[in-house]
Amino acid sequence: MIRFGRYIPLPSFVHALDPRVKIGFAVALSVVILHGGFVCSALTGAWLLLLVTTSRIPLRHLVRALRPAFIFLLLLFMIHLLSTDGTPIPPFSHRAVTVTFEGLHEGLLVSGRFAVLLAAGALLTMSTSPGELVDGLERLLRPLSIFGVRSYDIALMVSMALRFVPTLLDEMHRIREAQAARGASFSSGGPIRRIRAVTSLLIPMVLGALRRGDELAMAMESRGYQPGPRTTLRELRLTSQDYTAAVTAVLILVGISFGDAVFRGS
Amino acid sequence: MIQVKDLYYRFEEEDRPAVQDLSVEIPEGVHTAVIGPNGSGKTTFLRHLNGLLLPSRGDVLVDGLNTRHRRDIPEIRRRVGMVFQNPDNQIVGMTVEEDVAFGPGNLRLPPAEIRERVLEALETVGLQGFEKRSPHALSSGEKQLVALAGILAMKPRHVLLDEPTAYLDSAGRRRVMEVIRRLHRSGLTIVHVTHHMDDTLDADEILVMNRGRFVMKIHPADLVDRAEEIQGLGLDIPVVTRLMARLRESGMPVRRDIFTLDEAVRELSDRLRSGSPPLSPGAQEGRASLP
Repeated sequence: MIRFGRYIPLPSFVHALDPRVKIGFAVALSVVILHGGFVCSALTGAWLLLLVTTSRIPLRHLVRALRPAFIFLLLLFMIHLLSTDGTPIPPFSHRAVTVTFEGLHEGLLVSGRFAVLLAAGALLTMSTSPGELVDGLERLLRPLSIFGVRSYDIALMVSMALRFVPTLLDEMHRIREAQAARGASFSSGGPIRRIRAVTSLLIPMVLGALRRGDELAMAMESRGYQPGPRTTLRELRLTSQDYTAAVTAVLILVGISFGDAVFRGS
Repeated sequence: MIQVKDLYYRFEEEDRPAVQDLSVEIPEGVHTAVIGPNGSGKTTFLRHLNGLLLPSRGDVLVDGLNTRHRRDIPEIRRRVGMVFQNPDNQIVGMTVEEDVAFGPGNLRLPPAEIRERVLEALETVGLQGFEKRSPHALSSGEKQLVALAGILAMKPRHVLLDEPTAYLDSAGRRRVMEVIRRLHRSGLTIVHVTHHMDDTLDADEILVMNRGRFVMKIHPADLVDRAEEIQGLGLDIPVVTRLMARLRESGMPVRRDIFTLDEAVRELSDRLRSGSPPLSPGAQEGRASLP
C-alpha cells in the first residue's frame, strides 16, 4: 500500500479549508522555499509545524509518512557535501575526499528544503480527501481550457488511477503467486534472469489492465459518461474562512521571503 | 417498453452472426430472464438494449427511441441502467458515494440533488453508512450492490443485468437477488442474463437462447414440461422443481409453481397434513432414481 500522506479525516480548521486554497498554498510555498535560503526554510518549516498542530494530525503520523524519505534526504545531503568546491574544512579533508564549508551549506540547505516540501505535501494529502483534491485540481485547471486543457477529463483520469492502484496491486500479487507456483523466481539468479522473471509478471499485468479498461469503458458509457463537463457530489464554495486563510497565507509567505532576502543581503 | 425487431448482429472479425432473428417485446415492469449456454449470444443481445452495440440489421427501440439515433443515446442510457459481471471493472469512484454519484454527475445534476439520490440509492440496496468507504475494501457482493446503486441513482425505468452474480459467493448472491426482486416489485423492468437456472425462477418470463437465437419463451412454472430440451442445451433444471414434477407424476397433486426448498417443504407438509393420497410403492422407486 502507498502509505505516504494517507488521508486522515479529522474535524479541524485545516481539513475544512477549500482544497483549492490548500493546493494553491502548497504550490506557493514550494516556489518560495525553492527561491529562499536557510531562514526561509526554517520559518516555513516552523509555520508548517504550527499548521500540523492546528490540523490535529498527530506529529508521529507525519514523521512516519516522511520516514521513507530520510534516506533520500541523507543522500542528497551527502552528494552536495562531497561535490561542492570551495574552502575545505581542515579536519575532514584528505586527498580523496574534500569536505568544504560551501558543501556543508549547500547540503543542509537542499535537504532542508526538501524536507519542508515533503512535509507540506504530506500535510496537504493527510488533511484533504483524494476526492476533494481531485475536485480542487479540476477547478484550478478549468481556466486552462482556453489552451485546450480538458480539466474534467484530467480529474476523472486522476481519480480513476487512484481508485485502481489497490486493485492492480492485488492483481500483481495474484499473478506473482501464480507464476511462483509454476516455478518462477523473482529474487534469485542473475540480472538477466530477474529481468525475464519480471517480464513474466509484466505481460499478464498489461494484458489484464487492457481488458479491464475495455470493460470499464463500457460500464462508464452505460452510465452516461461523455467527455466534457460533468457535476460532482461536492460543491466547492469559498467561504470567508477560506478567503481569510488565503490572504493570511500570502501575507506570511511574502513576509518570509522578504525577511529571507534581507537576511541574505546583509 | 423495450422492443427488439429482427435483430441480427455479427462481430466484424467473425463469419457467423453472434445473434440473429431476435424479436421480442419486453413490457414495462416485467422481469425477463435470459438464459443459455456460454456463447449463445445472451450478452450480445443484452448489450443491444442500451445501445452499447448497434444492430447490423434490425432495430431496438427503448420506449420508442431507436438506439440507432445517436442523439437519443444519452436519453436511452438514462432510462436503461446496466450492471456487469465483474464488480471491480465497473466501479470508478475512490469512495462508495463518489462512485454512486458518477451517473448523476454525467446527467449534470446539481450537487445537492446528487447527494440526495446517492443516499436514496444506497438505502435501496441496503448499504446506508457505506458512503465514505473505499470500494476496494468491500466484498464482491457489496461491490455489486454499489454498482446497482450507481445505476439506481440515475433513476432508470429498465435495468439490464449481465450475470451480476457470477463472481459472488452464495451470501452475496442472495443479497443481490433480493435487491433485484425488490426493484422489480417497485415497478422497474428487469432483463437478467444468467446461466444459473435458479436465478430465473422469479422471472415473469424466461427467454432461452442457443446459437444466437431464442429457442424457447417460457414461464418458470412450465420449465419442467420441457426439461429434456433444456437439459439438452446443457442447462440444469433446479432440483426442487424436478422433485415436484416427479411427485406429480407419481400421483401427488403438488403445485406447479414451487421453486425453492422452503416452498417445497411448506407445500409437502400441507399435503401430508391434509391427508392427500400417500405415495404408492412404485412412486417411491421413482423417487430413488431422481435424475
